[in-house]
Amino acid sequence: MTAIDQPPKATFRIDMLWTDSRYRSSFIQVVALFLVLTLGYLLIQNVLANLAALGKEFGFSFMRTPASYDINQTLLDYTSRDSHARAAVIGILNTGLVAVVGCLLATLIGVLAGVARLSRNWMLRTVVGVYVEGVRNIPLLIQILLVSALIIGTLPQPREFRGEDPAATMYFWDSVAFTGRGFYFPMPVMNEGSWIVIAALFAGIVGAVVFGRWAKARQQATGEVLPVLPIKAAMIVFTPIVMFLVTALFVPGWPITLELPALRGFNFQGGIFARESYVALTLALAFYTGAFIAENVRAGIQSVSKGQTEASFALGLQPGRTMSLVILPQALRVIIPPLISQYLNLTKNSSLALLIGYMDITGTLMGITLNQTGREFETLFLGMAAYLTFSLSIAGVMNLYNENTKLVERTSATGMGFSVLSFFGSATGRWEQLKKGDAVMHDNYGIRGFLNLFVLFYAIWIALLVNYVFIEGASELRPSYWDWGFFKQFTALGMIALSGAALATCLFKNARFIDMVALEFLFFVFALLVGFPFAALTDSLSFVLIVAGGAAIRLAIFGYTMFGARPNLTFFHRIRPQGA
Amino acid sequence: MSETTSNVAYVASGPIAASPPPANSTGPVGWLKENLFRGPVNSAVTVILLAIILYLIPGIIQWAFIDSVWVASSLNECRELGNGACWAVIVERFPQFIYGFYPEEERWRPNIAFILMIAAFAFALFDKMPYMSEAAYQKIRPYGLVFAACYPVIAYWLIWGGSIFGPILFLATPVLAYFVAQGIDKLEHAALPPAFAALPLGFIGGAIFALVWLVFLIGPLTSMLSVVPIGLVEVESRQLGGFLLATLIGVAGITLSLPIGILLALGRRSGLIFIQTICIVFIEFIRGVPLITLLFVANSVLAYLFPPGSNLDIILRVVIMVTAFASAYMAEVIRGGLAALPSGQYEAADAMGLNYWQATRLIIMPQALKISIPNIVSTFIGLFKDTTLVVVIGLLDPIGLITNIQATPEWNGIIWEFYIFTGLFFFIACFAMSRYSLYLERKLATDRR
Repeated sequence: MTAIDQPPKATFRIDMLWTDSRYRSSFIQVVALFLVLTLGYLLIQNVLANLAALGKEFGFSFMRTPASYDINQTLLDYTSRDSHARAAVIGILNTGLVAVVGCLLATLIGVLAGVARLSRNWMLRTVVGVYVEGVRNIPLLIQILLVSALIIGTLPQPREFRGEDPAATMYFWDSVAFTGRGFYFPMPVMNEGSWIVIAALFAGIVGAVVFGRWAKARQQATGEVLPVLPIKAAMIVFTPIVMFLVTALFVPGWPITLELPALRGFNFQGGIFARESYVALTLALAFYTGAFIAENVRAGIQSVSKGQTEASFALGLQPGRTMSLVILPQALRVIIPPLISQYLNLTKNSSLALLIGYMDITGTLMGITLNQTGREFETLFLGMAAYLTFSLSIAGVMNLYNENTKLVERTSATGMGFSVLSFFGSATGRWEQLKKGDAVMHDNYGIRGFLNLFVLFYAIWIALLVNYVFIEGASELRPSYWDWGFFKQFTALGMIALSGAALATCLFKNARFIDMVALEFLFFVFALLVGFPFAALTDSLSFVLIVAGGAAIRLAIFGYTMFGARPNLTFFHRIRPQGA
Repeated sequence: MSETTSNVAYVASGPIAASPPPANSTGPVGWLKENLFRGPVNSAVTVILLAIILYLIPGIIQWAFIDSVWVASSLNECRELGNGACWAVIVERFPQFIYGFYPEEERWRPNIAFILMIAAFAFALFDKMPYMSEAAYQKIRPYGLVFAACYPVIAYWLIWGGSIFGPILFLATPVLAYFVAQGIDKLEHAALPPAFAALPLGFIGGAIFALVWLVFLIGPLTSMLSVVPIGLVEVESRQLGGFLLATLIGVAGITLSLPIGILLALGRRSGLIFIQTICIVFIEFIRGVPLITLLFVANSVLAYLFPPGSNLDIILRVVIMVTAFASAYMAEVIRGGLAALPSGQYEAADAMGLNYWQATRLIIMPQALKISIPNIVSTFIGLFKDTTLVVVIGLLDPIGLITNIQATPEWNGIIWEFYIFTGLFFFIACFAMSRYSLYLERKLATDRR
């Protein structure tokens, strides 16, 4: 009665591994780990045995050998004597070209079609509905082949443009020619003084952004609404035109002229030539993806409840401003994420280029190079890595945008504008925050903003290194990446991955001293490993700048990270200015 | 009172009937005004679209129906008979579009497989049958489910042929494993230390037996038994083609990707770090690369992953990769459904004392799947459309057949008819699927209204 017995000590039984919640999760994971390792071991054994049986080896040195095939449309110079690596780069650029132009066109088509599907006009609604449903339910491959056949079969051949009374004519004052062999556009030629015009264009854009901010601040202070859009448009359009005319007074000829495609012999010469396979692929992808985007846009606009419109009208806003200030900001939050994943799909679908003879990364690296060298593992690995990079970077942009809209949601007074300046502002922190607001509460807040710049600097460095290792033609002094031993190649890849991971940590999490040191360390090991030409770099900059500046920056940062407040290097976890 | 009434000239004794709406706001005229001619811009759009349609449609009808040729033996003959569409090529090659190069005298086999497939799906999907009493259907349903479970093996045997013993021995695996497990459970195992007494020895033994049986025993036994010549003529994978191939890959990918996708989605949300990492890496990798590259892998690299000497069939390899592809997308769709469930559902399941699998099976999954039905179906549609991509590795799906037929001297030069025909086939199939998903969505939306 005096003492309560201790509960009997539970003896361990084997079934407690999967019935007792204390052990269960560890047990399951250990079993899974065991199974995965076993499977991986078996697969690697099989691969090695199979490769040995065929007398093949694993390595990337074949990327240095001459490709000896032609690529019919290239953005950079390329001849068949160039290496497989360069052919792969040409392919990647071609994929990028289709993806960028296709995404722009698809967005245009999708937004128009999505809005048209909500039109009160029955005819328009139905026609667009037929387009969307039809295109979405037919395999993309059939559509690409169909568009390709349409272009080749129905458009005139270049020879039909010849003669006194030609069967075909060019459009837009003889500047654009649509032929069955491809489309010809005029090409701007940069003459003397052209940089002034281009600078004027940028100045106009910057001026428009600055004016927009000023107008917004003024509206919030005084309530006066300025005609922002016409003034912005005028600034962007007229500044370069005025500068164009002014410059023309001082230089011989015009600063920028257009080189028109002209018929010479049996074909057009000059201008920009878009090969028929490229045009067919881009158009088919744009119409296909546009139909999906149209559905996203429609769903996004419909997701904003009618009460929002009515409330906006009740406040006395005009329909145009209701759309731009009330409906669109809310609809965009719904539209953008699926829109970006449609961009992703378009990029991946562009691999169908293979079937109509457009030489993208699938056609060069995973097509001809694979067939010529018989290196299935290496080429497919590199090709998939290229697509993964495309995909992950687009996904990264999407996250960036999501974070941005989420923040804007909290301080909605700043509006939706996703401008370069606001992006840069979110990267560094605003200048005002160095002096006022919450910064008082946090030591050295402003410096943290500049630390973000430091991280950006690292990002640029990684890009440079990757470019140096993989893309740039190897200099005479060092063997190319593709010629290294397998171990060194593997280590270099691992180092790039680790640096990228450390960078990502710095960007998206709270970086600490140890992260910075790890990053520094990785970079130097990596740079030494790949033989990065420090000498060439230092020659081009002054000694004092390199040594003194670099040392000072690093010392400051290490000191700060060690002794200062824990730096918050992330883009998005920064402190919001109150009521900005 | 009487004074006032006498002064008034007219008093309404009842409500005045509402006058009919203006003639131009109801009926066909009203509809036209409301939907087609509301304001100048709207009217202009209508007129322009109408003009375009009127310009295009007669030409298309003329080409496709009036001037078209339905019976001819070559393109030249077509052109002599009429200058419209030459549907004769579709008519002549129709069997090829359906079966590819499947031997003509054996084509009853895919037909039967197709009919059996419909039956298997009916048993697996429907709780009741039309024209059949509920009780009668419930009586045969268990057998139907067993049949549905066996159907993949039956279909494999019907389409590829070969000795009947391989499929039979394969189907016998679970039965034999069950008996082995029962046998082990009946044995005395007092020798085990008490800590291990709870080991499910029968289950482990059965699993080991099944593995050994599948990997080591079936092959030799089949070759021993196949001395007895019962079976069908073997058909090689390269002979399969057309819509048969598209349907085969599509159906296999669809049915396999759903369960694998569910497992991947559960793994990604499980909170077990290691399992979660595996699932995330798999899903993000597959979703990050185009299907074409995975088909290249199926064509050239996948065979390296299997033991030397094992000659994996090309269609099997394609199905593996297509399934992996669809599973990753399916996992994300289902994860979306899981995330959309209010957390109260999880907590309620915990409060009821259900364990993880009970809660998942009875509470979470039914609701999560219901939420994700539209997206699941659009993944199916995408997968079915993507079956056309197998042409890149030289399989003769409908598009591969187009190139093939275009290369023959009789039909060289025909383009549009092929694309219109195959496009129409896929459109009908995919559009029907998407309409069915809309119907299902409306039928299952019991909680919303």
